[in-house]
Amino acid sequence: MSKAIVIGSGAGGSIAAMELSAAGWDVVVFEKGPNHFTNLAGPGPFGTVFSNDDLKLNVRYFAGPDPLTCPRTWRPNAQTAVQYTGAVDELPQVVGGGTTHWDAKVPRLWDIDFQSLSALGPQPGADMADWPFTYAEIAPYYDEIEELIGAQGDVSAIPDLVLKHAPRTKALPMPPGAQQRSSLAVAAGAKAMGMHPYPYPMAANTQPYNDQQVCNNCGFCSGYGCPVVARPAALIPLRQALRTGRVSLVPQTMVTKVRLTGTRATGVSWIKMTGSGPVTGSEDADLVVMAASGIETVRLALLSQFPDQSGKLGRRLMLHAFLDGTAIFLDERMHAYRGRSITQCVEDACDPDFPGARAFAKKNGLPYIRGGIMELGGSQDPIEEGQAYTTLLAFLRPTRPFGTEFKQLMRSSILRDRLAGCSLIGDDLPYLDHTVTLDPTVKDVFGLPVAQITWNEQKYEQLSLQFYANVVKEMMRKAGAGAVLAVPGTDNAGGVPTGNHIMGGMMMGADPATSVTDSHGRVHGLDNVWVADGSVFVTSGGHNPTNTIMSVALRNMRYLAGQPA
Amino acid sequence: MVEAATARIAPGPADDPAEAGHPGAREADVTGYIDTMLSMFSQGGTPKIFAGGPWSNRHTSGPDMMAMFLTIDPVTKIAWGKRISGWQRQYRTGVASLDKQAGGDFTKVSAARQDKILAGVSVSSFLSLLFEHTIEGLYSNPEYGGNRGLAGWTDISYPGDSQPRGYSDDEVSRSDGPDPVDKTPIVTGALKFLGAV
Repeated sequence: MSKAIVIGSGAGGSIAAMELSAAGWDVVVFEKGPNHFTNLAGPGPFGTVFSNDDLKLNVRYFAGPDPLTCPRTWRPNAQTAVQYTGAVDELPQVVGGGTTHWDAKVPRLWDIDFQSLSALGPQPGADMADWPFTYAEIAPYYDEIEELIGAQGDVSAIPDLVLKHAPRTKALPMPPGAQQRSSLAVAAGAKAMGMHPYPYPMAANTQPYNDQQVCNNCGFCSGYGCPVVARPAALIPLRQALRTGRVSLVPQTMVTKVRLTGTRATGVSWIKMTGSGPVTGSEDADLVVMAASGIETVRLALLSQFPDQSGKLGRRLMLHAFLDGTAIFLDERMHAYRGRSITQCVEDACDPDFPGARAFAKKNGLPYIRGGIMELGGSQDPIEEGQAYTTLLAFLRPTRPFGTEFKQLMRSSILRDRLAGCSLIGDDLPYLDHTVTLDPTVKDVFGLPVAQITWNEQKYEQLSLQFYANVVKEMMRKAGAGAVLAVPGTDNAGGVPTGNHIMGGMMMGADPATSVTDSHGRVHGLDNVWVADGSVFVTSGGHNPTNTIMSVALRNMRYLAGQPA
Repeated sequence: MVEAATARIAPGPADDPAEAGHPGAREADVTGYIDTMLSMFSQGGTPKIFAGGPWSNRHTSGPDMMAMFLTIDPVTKIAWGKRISGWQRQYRTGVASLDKQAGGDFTKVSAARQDKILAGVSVSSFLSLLFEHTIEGLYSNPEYGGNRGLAGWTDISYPGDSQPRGYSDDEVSRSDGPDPVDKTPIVTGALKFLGAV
């Protein structure tokens, strides 16, 4: 039988490995980062060394990559020099990829996200386009992914507006778990404004599922790996792949090039670090599937000098325009350190006809604006809280920005225990000049050029964030917060994107003149190279992308697996 | 010297009367945290970068698996080698600079003078590093050498790691009841800055 190489072991790569191995392919999965799990092939519960450890996960890059060895660079636009070198929107580089650190939110994109151009019309300056399939076509794959990895939620509680745009025919396999106090409080504010909050669909176990444990509400969720692996996600398809006996998983090994002869890939070159320096090698294959996540897949395509018939390779990078809302409760501690982080969401702001949104857009010269899903509740942990106070104290007490005032702030916990967050995951339009390119000077630990990110919020995103900042603040006031703040996420990071949602760069489409990959993710101009991660997205939507990454990968990889080898 | 400086950043009862009953950097052994970190490659054995998992059992019974530090991969070793040697240099220069500004020995001048020196522009980057590490030493898991006796967490009413026990559904969803914030001048100032309603 023939051999396939899958690059990356996360949301997309795990699905590719599962589908190809089930169809009889021998598969080698290369993963750049280390493996923090045991018992991957099962049966029974996975083991892990992920833990309730703020320092390890949020400060010391346990899920990697470390910016001292594998940085990226960022500039707001092509007319500006690089402004930042370091961690730029890094996803975990470990076995399981982004599905290790996520808090497992699995909302679906809406029908109009897949048909933005035909349903909503053009937007000035943006490369609007339809996906090569509709919501109706992808819906059964959403069902299958939610069943496969195990999602919780209550379809009967999903509001009509959401079901109209993302209809469902099946219940989710598990009921919702305990709702966080902070989420319920903000949700009450949303209701008071006439919005429609509901329990956030999440791929975390509320019942024993897939041989894995039930979430025990430990509270170290978003940004952490789950210590009881109650949200295994990519590990489930990875396990199915490994159990065929036809799949080998190779961690700590970075693919540096897809080797091309004419229009065919013949295999890959790889590099790995050892105690005595880097070691290189190569692996032959009949098929290569790239799933290294949006930015790294583009970087690899550029390093491999892929053909680029449309001129769009590495363009249309979408990272979501986040709005960071902060509600501070003065009379009660909200204890968001307990439970799955953020258990309520509201999707009203995904609607271009949200009250007042279209009029606001038109007044400012745009046909429409859309926000995105709002994540209601959640907070941060003490180390991040302390860091936030250092910034505050530098403003408020420049002559002595430390001391008892610092400790008083920590004890008051206005930015942790009294905080309920409200992030809006804003629709980020596809622009040709939002790009991933190879940085001309900065290299990684192996001496290879790192990814240079060119991205910022444009007029559409700025207007949308401006409009919804007022909505979010009003919602938080109605929730009873004593102080409210809503600012673009990039404001908190000097402009650098940090949202960990990476989409675009290898856009799907039927026409080789206007897209990078075909209607099933095969690279235009290459016979046997496919892409199965978020880089194939045509639009970003305003939702957490992982469910869609996995569902689109499932659709495309099943099609591929059905082709004659 | 580092102990004296971090005790100004996060004072305890012995350092500031306003902190009576509230352990600070000294009590939480922040210097233990900093020493553990800066000497991670000279102690022999596994460098103490990543505490083990999946849990400590501190609220339950059983072995503390966080105390068994994890073997690191070669790329991580390179990154931390660079990071630690950079910080060692910054500490050497920073400490020398603080001592110099104190006329020879930072620990021998008054608390007010120490505060003034620390807040000075010429040490601002070293102050940020010390502040960052003081926060980590106070509020990280105690396996890293600080947060002694969970002093840092206790002072902010934070229970820390909760596995393998976690929380009951009721603990997640319920209101813990009224608990008005103590509106000290700095808290009021911060709330105003953050958008008090």
